Amino acid sequence: MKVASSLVAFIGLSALLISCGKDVTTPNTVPDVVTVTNLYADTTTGFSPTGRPIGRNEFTYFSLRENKIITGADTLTNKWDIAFKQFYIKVNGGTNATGGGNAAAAVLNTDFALYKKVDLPNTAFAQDNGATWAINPMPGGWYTYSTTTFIALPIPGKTFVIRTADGRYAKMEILSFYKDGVTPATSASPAEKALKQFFYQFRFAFQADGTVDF
Amino acid sequence: MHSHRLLFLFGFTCVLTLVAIGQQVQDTLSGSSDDVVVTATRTERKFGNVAVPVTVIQKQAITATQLRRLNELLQEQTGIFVTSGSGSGSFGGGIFGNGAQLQGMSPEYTLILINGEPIVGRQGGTLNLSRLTLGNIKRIEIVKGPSSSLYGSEAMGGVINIITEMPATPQVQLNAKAGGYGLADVNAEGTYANDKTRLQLAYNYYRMGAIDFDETQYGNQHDPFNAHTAQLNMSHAFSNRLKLVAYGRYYYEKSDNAYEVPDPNLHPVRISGNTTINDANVNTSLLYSVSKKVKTALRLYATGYHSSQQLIQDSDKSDYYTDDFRQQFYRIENQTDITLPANNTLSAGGGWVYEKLNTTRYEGMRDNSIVYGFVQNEWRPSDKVNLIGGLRYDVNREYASRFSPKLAVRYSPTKKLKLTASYGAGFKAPDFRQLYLSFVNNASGGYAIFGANEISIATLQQMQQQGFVATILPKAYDMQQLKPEVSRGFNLGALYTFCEKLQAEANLFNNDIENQILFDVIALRANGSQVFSYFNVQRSFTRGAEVNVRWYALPGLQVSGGYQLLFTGDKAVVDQIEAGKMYGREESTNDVYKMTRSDYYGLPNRSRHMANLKLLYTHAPTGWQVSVRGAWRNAWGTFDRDGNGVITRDDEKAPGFLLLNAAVSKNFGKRYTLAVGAENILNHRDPENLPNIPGINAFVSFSVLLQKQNHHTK
Repeated sequence: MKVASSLVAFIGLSALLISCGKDVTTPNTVPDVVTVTNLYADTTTGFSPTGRPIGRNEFTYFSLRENKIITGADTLTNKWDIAFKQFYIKVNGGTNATGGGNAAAAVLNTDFALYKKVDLPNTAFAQDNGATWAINPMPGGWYTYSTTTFIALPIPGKTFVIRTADGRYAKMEILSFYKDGVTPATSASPAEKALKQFFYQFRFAFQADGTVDF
Repeated sequence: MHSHRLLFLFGFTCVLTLVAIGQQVQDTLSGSSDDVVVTATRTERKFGNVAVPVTVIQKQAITATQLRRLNELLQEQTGIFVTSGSGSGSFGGGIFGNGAQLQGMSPEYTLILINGEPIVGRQGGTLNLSRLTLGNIKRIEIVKGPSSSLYGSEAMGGVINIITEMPATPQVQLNAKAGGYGLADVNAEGTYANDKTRLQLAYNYYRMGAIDFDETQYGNQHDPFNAHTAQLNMSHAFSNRLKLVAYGRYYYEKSDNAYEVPDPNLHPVRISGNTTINDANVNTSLLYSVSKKVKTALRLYATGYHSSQQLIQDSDKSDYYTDDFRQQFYRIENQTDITLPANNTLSAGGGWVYEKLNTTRYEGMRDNSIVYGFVQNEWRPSDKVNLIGGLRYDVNREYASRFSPKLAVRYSPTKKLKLTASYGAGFKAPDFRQLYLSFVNNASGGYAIFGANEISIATLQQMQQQGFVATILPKAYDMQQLKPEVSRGFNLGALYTFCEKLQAEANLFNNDIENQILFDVIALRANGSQVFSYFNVQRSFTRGAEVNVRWYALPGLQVSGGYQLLFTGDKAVVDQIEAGKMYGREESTNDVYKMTRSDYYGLPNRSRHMANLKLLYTHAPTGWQVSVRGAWRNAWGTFDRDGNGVITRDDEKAPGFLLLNAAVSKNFGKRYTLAVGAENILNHRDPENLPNIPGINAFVSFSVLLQKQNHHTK
């Protein structure tokens, strides 16, 4: 995973602020935007005898605060905020969540870069309950999948606002489903496309200080 | 085929009956001159009196180009965009061969006729025009804009009608063309003609070698193929009042397929095999003049199309893919034209269509029948004005019935100026694919697509019990009987003759298309893959202007040019943009921006600007002829790459290009003609977007015409 180097410093700083500071109105903590590339989300590991791509059918759990993948027993805690499997993105909140957190998400149609303040009522946030997902896994919602070209693309202008497992806020934008963030050529074979997909590239900003500003 | 025989039997019974009744009245159908148009009104009309936008390409113009296939000829015409085997199939058409767009409307909305009867065998909605040879064509008539009031389904964007030739004198014509990329075209025609009977036999052989832009890669951009076309054309006048016209055509094409697919470890696996197409059509018409004022025609038509693909894996000869597609179409139709008092001409008719499909893609055999009636009246209060009103009603067994009106007016205030205005409605019936497809794609995630008649809430619930479907989505409850896709078109035209040598015409058009059929997700399978079905959802528009100029610049030199400006769009997308809800993404920075109306490049597979310029120089005394034609189109949309589903960025477009073709010919006496020339002189190559256009391709062609001097007076 590529991680902006400034982030390490930032996390250290914000952790410090959270641990000792109660002054939540401090305006100078606009979080950096971090880009994550090649987050595997049930990538294709083989093909069925009929040629259907097969993965491990596993979610990859991710902590926005830590900017890292959460594995093992920690996936049953509120250490993770969001998890990825193919086109499914779940939050650590609701009956489908394994961590018992109270995370929730809202999908907005707005420019990620220009979204500076969470101004949503609590009712705008949803959790994952049964077949109802906070982030709708169907094409046409926040991504498209062409049955002509077999290429999946995130729809520009879709910004996820995430209330994390520990009640902080983050904004997030999916940039690509493909390895290294490079969409395969339209003319590439379906198999090649399948082998390169479900490597998420996304960017996010996590507001660790409990405010709603980005 | 059994039903073929029945139709013929019926036809000949009718012949005999009508022979008995009709003996003495003059045959008003003979003596048609070349400036006649039949497609606009389904009656013979002078070009100058036609009130809807029509292009007529005459035989001499076709011959001068030395082109041999319909797609090649059409891409040089103003306002006709020939799709090139790529681009978005959902609306632009094009992944299935070379189809023709008229006024920016998709190729699936262009009805293709030979002698007034429809050709079948569309793949993904597109009829591949390279199936049609230009040998023995008298003229091609193109009516632009919705024309279902006369032609019914498919005539949503317009009609291309190929009129085959029937020389009045006995002759034999041989023609051979050879060029690079293994191009060969041989055409032989023989005609017998006397006072009462004309008979023509024609045979065409066409082949093209592989087009391979990248020799390091196994496989071709365009596979080698060869095709045979045999045609029989005949007419017989039993009397001055009764005439029989028959036409038969058989087409066979075989292409050799070879390509590589990667296995799970991305090691190449070689696939090979072949694709064959068989296509036959037979029409028989009886034309009978009941009196000087009443003419009637009985038309019997049968056509069939069969395509088959067999692919094997080279390594172990195991079956890789098999596809078989058979379509049959039968029609019986009567049309009666009556001259009424006060300069009215009434045409009325009706017919019955039976259509049948059998394919590996659907479950079993599917059929459908249509009964229709139409009426049209043309009123000519004076030489300056004619008014046409028409309507047609189609009653269908499998989907909602359709009513298609038309109104057209011509006004010529002076001899130099013709003004026209027309309104027409068009429709395209849901096709068999949209009704009956039953397809589970195991190769790409296990998604499934079902035609609207194959699926219902009840069947979905059944599938849920059987475990095929996990979740039924709310969209599934919107499913209902598919309605035909419909279009409404307005045209405003002016034709001005400055002098004998210079003529210009302009036409403004606006087409609104509704109920376009697209698929949407109705359910989810346990593995998360989707189940689709078809819905009447999309609304779009095409509008623009077309200009054509013809100028006899010097003795023997004809200069013609044309231009089309085209704006298209999906109305829902335009609404979204105007509501500020659509974004685009910059390719380099990944940053998003709010789209404005000008960021939207309209429907895929459309060029905003298309232009052509043609020079034809004929020096009759020496028999030299030079034809130079340039056809240009600017960039057109191909595939979305930034996720907003529409064409915005440059990497979502194919670059525009200029296609330059030229031919020089010399007649040696009346019998022999030698021609040389080249196509794609500028050597424009675009493997991804224009796989069927090779680089520059020089050719040589030779023809012989043996004609008996005509002693008959017609």
